[in-house]
Amino acid sequence: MSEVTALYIVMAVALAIWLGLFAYLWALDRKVRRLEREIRREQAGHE
Amino acid sequence: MNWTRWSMIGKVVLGVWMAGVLVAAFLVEKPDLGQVGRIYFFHIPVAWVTVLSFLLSSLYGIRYLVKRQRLDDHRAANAATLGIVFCLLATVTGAIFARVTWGAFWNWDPRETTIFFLLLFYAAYFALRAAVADEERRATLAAAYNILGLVVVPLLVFVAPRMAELAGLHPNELLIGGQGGMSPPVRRVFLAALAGFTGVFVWVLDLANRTARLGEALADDEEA
Repeated sequence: MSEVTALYIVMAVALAIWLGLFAYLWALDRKVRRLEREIRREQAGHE
Repeated sequence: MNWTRWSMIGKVVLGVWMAGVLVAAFLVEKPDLGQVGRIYFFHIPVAWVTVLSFLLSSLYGIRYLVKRQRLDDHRAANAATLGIVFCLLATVTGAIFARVTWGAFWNWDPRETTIFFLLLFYAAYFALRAAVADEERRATLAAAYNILGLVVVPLLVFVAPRMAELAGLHPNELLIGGQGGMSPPVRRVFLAALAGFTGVFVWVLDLANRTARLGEALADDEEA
């Protein structure tokens, strides 16, 4: 395997890890956003 | 457009940016250390984020002492937690880098010694937090200890490794200011990586802080 091919493979690994991590962070962000909305609505209901 | 919309756009941009950084990190011409020098693009940004998060942690601590809001104590702890995570990452990536360039994973080089003390300093911060049961007392003590970080962190990261008597193998040029031995293309990728890692750090810290805020909102609801 040439050095350049090897670099592409390691790059693909790093990209895959980042894509997975990004998707997870995005999902977590959305979950927190929903909870924030819910709490805001509840607090508005109390007043 | 509201803030949430803007922050979502920012996160998408960050996702693409980091993907671009990763591609560029492998495709740009090799740094002067050779292929292994590509560790630059990961090791230095991670170390920079370590300093940034410990600094933020101290600032949140100070804000707690001034404003006495529990949320700032949570934020200080969150920033310190992330600081430890990135500090460990900097240590591990540094050890790997040391193995290939200097021949051993760990050699108590000044830089290795000081980062070890940095880890100990913030490990002690969490030991202190765990030792105090009363919430307000814990927050106050933790914030006071955290102020020491404003002296200890720069001393361990920027001053001690540069002292002549301690001169070690680790390069000490301030890579932001000087050229740091990087060619212009390598330098561009390095700076882009610095920005990208900072963005990821800000995002994760924001998530942790928003979660803490949700917890506080629930606690307030129960008290009311």
